[in-house]
Amino acid sequence: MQGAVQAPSSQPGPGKQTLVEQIPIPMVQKRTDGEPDDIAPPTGGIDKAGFIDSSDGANLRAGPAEAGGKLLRDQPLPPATRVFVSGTHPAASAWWYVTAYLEGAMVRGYVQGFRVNTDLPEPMAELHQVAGGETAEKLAVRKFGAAVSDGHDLRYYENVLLYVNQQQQRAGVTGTYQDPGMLGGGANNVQLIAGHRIWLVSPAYAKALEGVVPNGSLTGGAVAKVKRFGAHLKDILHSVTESRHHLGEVAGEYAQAIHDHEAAIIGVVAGFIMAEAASAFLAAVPTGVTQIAAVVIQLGLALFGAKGLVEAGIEALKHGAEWLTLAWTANGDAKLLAAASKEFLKMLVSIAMAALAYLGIKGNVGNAFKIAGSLPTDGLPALVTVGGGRLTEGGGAATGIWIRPSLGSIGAAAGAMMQADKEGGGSSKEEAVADQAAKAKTSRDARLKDLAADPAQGGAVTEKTLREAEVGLALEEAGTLPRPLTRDPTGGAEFIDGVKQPWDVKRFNSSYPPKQGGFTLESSLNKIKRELDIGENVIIDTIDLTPAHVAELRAGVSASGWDTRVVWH
Amino acid sequence: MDFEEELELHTRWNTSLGKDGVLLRHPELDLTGTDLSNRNLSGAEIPGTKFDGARLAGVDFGMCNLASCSFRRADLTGAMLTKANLDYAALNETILRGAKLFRTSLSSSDLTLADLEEADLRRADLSDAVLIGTNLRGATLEGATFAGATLSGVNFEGAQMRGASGMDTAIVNDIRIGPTKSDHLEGTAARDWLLRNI
Repeated sequence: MQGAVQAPSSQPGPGKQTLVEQIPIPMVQKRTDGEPDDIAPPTGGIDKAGFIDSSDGANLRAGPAEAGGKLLRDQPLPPATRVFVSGTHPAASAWWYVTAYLEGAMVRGYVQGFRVNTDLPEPMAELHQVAGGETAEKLAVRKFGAAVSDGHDLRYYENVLLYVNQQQQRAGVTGTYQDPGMLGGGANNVQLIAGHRIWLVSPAYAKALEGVVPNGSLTGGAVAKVKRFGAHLKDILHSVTESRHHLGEVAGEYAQAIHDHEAAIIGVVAGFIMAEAASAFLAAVPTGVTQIAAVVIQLGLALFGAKGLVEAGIEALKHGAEWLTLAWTANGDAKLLAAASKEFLKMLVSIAMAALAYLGIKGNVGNAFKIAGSLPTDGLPALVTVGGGRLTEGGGAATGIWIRPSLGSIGAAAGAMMQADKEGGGSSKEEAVADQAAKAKTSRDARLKDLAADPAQGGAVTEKTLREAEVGLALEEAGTLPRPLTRDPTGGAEFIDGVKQPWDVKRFNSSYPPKQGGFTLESSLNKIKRELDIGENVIIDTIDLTPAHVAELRAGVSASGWDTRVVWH
Repeated sequence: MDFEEELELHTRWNTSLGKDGVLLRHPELDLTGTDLSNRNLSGAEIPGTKFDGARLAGVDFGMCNLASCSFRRADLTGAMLTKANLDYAALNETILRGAKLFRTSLSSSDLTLADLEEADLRRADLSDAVLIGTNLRGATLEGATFAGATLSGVNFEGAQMRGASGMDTAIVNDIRIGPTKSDHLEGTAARDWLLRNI
């Protein structure tokens, strides 16, 4: 197709490389056993980059282990793996939905939330597992080599390692500051401890700390430099994660199709931006936006289940380039970021159209269901090419996530295509279905807002009351609480269910010592008992609890005979 | 990053409902003597922080983790502390006049000489708290629990106490229920008055 984004062929030809060939495309991995993994779409709302910060890594599962969620990889995600956290499991919020770029491939699934650290010292920081024999000097050379001009600089960057990790209370770097002005020789004052994880900040951030390290504190000027540095990247991520708020407005009849893939799309795109491609990304934007857009489009095609498709329309590329340019130049401007989000969505619509056309289901919903149902179980193409390689079908032997185009989403997307073709005789029935889906989403958002407005706080909606609302609504949708759930207008309880039973939400926390609000079994049971004694039932939000504490509390609740009055999320 | 920076990020966290900014999660800050009047810290997790002598009138601490914080001689007049965790907090001589402590957890806190006149303490958890010379004049205590609390020289004049609980296990030494000398009740008389008025 002339003007289309052309993926690299399996036989590299002579002459100029195509756009996609110039940037590595992560592979979307599949399982080796051919079995499908049904991964429940997450409850959104985290949207943060993070790292696996647990010495034994984190198992990647299709769902919570306690609910029988299958392992998606034979090995855990290793310590210090970079991930993007999209949200939490709808029925077990202690499990976080992550997308990781690992060994040249994208993997996704659920991990235990406490194993993920999203508290980065700066947007481009990376967590590093200190290996035996590694020294601060070697690490500084590796990480900051390009910025080091002489021995003076090197000692400065070793001090940066010490400063940043002391600020973050990491135990992997010890010692005292070296004199940056001393040339040659010098003691190895900054030492690494093997087996620990430490933060490595970007060279730009390290530069911004000049005048701070080793003895000072962050000045206003340094803070401003750091903020400017991360702003572009943050704006681009924001335009992706916030796109969900414009679905109904922009995607119209396509909203349901995109909504069905929303978590995967946001996770994969944001994960890609934050991962290996980040530096290339920052270097390319805004002049090389089409290259970046081309890679994102390829990822999107895979997520829409377009097996073997190597082309996407010029429209997708146009919107992709516009998305990146707007986001890059937004400088935090809300209107520009909203416009960027909308362009991102338009790009997704174009990708969905291309994918459906490829699958041959354009204009025929019945065929769409038939084709979706007959897709081979080892379904998706792996987009293989790292370093200007090639695009092939089949995923190789790597273990990872198998992405199955669901019947529902293909059907809905086909409905969207029908609407696109309505000038050629589309079906009003499919239009109605798509309309209904868009309205349902709008209606859910409105309910969430209603449930979040807390009369106990004068009707205020805060992040924490919103969390309460998400928990309550999820339990209502799961059929655990009789519908309709409403906020208790007195503020005495959080919610009142459909049979007028008041419910209080309790959120205990494993992160603090007991006297600083941390979990203890005795105090938690006392607090639950107090609510039960006055006739309220209790919802326990486990998001801040370790699995061990959840198990301990569950046993305590059962032993107290409260199982019928306490529900878990 | 200094506290103002953290607070700015926290404000963005609050206004964006968690989509932007960063939740203020920083135990054991030293904010002694600072002026945070009318600022919004709702949802912050800053247990063990020292606010001694701080000016905190009208501050929004709704749903905050303030366990083990120290507010000695701080001014929290009209502050919003609804659903906050103030377990083990030191509130000695703290001014909490008109403060909103609806469903606030004050378990094992020390409220010695604290001034809670006209404060809203409905459904507050005062279990195992120490109230010595505490002023609860005109306070709303409906549904509050006092299980295991120590009450000594507490002024309950005009306090609304319907539905309060736990008085049977509270240690009641003496209380004041009015301005005259005869309104000072001790021992059994004090406990009986409390049990009659809940």
